[in-house]
Amino acid sequence: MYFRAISLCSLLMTSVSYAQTKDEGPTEILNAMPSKCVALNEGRTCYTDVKFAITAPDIGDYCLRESNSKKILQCWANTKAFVYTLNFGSTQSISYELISKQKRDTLAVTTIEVNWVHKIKSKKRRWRIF
Amino acid sequence: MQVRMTIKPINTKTMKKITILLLCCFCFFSSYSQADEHLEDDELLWQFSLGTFWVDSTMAQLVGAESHFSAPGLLIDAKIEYKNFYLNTHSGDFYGGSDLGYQLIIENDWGVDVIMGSYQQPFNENGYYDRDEEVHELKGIKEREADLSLGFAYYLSHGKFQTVAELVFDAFGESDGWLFHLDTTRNFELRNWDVWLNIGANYYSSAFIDYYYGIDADEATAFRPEYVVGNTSSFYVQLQADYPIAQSWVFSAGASGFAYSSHIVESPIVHSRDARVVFMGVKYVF
Repeated sequence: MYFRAISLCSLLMTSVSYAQTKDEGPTEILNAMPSKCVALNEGRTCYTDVKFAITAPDIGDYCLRESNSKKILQCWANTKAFVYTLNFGSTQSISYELISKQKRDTLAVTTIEVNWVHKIKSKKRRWRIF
Repeated sequence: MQVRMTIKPINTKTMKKITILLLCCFCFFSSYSQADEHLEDDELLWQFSLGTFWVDSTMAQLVGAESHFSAPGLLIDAKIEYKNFYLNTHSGDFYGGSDLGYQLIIENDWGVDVIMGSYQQPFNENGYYDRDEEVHELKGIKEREADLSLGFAYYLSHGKFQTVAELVFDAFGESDGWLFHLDTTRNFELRNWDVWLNIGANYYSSAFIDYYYGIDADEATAFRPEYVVGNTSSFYVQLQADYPIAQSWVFSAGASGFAYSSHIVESPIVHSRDARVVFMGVKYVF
């Protein structure tokens, strides 16, 4: 019984540790704030100013780009820490990735999630005075 | 020999029955004929909101009665859709009330619904609000209940405008009158803000408006003569802004101005013809 409890605790701690590692990995290198954008209804373009804080492992040349379209947002040369502010506007979630120009590797990925408040968009908007 | 023909006016109860019957027939045949054309969504959609609003309203003033109301209030909204039916209830904000509807015709830019709802605020000898204080000037009037009107709504979208024309008959209320409602809304999307500008008008049949502001013989006194209100119109402008604060929170604020046509103040129980509402609050959307 005692062994079972220890095993369970170990498993739990390992899971938590793994989850933290998994979460912290990309956020240490590429951190986006806010990571969520909320619109009133589905289909509406959601606007927010997203601040990317990048802390690369080594000094080098890096670029920040959209994951799907591969559109480059900005590149930095001979540095390891930098900040970029994006005027985000999208109807759907978009992922961004940090790439190393030398290694041609993707170092980190982060996603700006687009959510909406109303699940049902009013088909009709009836107005009443009182 | 002269034959004199007289046509008896249709009494109001018969009128109600005819209206309801016609609407039922129209709904049935319309949905039957459109069953193949439109795949109805079988899913039950619902959404509830709970929030708190500060509302400051001044109603069209009844003589002697309190017409100003300013207080925080609870808001409970429900939106339910199943197939072509929908139910929208609003409380707390300035376009309150409930709408029950059935979408008869659904096209890209226009549609026709059967609708049921209330258009007029009830009042009694205490005024619009239930208070312990008796209003001397209104003492002895019968209770004016909210209408429960049934009719058709025609919706038209043109660019960023949406226009609705409604023709309803107070089928389940006491007025036995009808009302025509015309309304145009322009939506402005300013980043994450939704701003709605709304301009509209109502045309009330004499029977409809007379039920509320007319004075029957059994209500007449020395200071409150018998009075019949003729056909009346009203106009209004509304502005509302919504903003998503977080994933389930919405901030709303709005203002509304409303006025009946000038002759309404000739009614012995009406003091002023205009009304206004300002509200602001937050709600949680489930």
